[in-house]
Amino acid sequence: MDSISILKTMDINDSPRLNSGSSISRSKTDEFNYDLKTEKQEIEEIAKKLKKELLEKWKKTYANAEIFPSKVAAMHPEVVDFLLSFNLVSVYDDIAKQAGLDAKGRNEIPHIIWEIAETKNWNGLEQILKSKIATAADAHTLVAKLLQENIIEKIKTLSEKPVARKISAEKAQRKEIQLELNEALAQYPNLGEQGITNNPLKLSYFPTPVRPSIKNWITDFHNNMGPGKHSAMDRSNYLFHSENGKKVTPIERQRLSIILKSLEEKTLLKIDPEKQVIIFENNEQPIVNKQQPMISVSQEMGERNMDFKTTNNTEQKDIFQRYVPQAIKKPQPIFSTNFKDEKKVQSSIKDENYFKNVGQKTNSGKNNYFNDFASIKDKDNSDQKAALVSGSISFSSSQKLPAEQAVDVARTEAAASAKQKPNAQSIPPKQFQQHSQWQMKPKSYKNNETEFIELKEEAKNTGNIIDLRN
Amino acid sequence: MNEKNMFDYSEMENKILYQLAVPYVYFPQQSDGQKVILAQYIIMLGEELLLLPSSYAFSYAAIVAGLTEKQVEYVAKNAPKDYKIELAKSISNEYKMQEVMKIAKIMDDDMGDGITQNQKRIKAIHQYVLDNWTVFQF
Repeated sequence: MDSISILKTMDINDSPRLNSGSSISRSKTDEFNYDLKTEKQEIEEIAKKLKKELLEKWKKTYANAEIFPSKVAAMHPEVVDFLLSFNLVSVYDDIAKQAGLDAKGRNEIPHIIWEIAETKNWNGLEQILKSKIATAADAHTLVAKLLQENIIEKIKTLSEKPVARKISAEKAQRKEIQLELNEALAQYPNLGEQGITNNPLKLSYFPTPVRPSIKNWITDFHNNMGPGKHSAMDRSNYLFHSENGKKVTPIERQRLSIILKSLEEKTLLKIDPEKQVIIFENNEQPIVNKQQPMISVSQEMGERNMDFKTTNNTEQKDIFQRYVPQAIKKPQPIFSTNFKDEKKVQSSIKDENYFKNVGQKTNSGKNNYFNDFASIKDKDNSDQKAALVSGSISFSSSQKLPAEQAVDVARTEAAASAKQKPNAQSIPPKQFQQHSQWQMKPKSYKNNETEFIELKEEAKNTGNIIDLRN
Repeated sequence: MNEKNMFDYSEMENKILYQLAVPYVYFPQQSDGQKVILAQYIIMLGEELLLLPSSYAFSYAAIVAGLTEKQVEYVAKNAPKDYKIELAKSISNEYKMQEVMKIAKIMDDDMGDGITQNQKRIKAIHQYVLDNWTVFQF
């Protein structure tokens, strides 16, 4: 026996049954002990189990299906139940026979009964009969009498049951079904056009912004994340970090999350089949109403700070934006005043090398995260800077630190320039001041030649600056 | 020998599934005799199981020919909109009803001379749907 035939034998004898879904174990299959009765029982059990499973699935699928037209659904359920009993066919036949009605007249009777049950026009039976059935006047009276006795009285009694009426009203009001997104889109194509966010979307392969509909969001999701199934982490990344995802409000993001979860994990969504919309729990309020305060806040902030106008307003809606630590928040008036003060201080201090990695960032301090820290650092050092400028810091030793020496040089130079140029503040900041103390001066640097020469002597003494020209 | 005696459970399950879910596929309908077999299968089905196939099932004359009074009442009271619409279509289709009556007649003939039990059943069903047209119209 070759290996393939061995495998085949194993597969037949030992492998569990495929597609069975049944817990029934196989009984004796030995050819000498074949039990037909047991086999039959097992087949019956399989059939029973399959029927049960299929019925459960069917009931789940049609749990909230529309069974009656709206006017019938609004009627008392017991009345509907009574009117739909098969026995009434023979009752109508008998009445028509007694009254001598033809087939057409007979067929009109049940329709009249339905009409009376719907309108509850209990006293108008004879009038309706006269208008709809062409027969002798006596026949109308007889038919009305027979219908009153056999059907109308029963309907009246049933329709006066209060408890059942309440249930009926609830049933009429409740019109929502549960479906997964794909099924819902297949059954209700208009559902895909439901807007779930406020701002238009930018799709990768579409030149103009598009409506923020469910279909467009799904398209954007697949454009960003690729087709196929994605993990919850992937979806979360998309919701928080994609170009469009970043711009939505937390409530909108929650809605999107529900949509994408249903798309990927087949979770059920509540759907209003009449309006063809997805019902989001706790989010029933229109999107526009919720967006309004956000816009007004951003406008107000924009008035306060011009820089806010240049930043993206939608970023302010991001949940993370609201939890940025106080120290890093950009629009703080304290910092804005300090920036100005620092500029003044910087312009008066010649040697910025002492505050290396600080001075350059104060000008563009609103651009990134680290610059904000630089601004804070500046603020902390501002007193120290002022002290250095005013010369209030002194050392016990007569020996001067390189920085002190540089400050002295700056002072003398400032005094000289003040004599030469009355408006010293109009001088643009010098390039080399922005650099590190240890930075080598490039040969092409010629704008502040005289100043460099002045510093050169100090540099030769201290050895902090290497003059490559010598 | 062992393999021959063994019962193929998965195949049996598939057969049962086909019978329940797509009886109009499982039972061929090339001849009147085959249609009668399908109608007789439908007669034996419980009311709930009748709705397991899709609503499309009610477009087959053999399936309509197998409907019982009890089943139709159940459909009127419990079946979703799609099923009712499909049944109403078949009932109001004269050509289809002729075919249904033909199947019912063959069934009666098989039972013996002068028996009209199945034809009466079909007429009653037809009348019931027409009487309660209100619940079949959406």
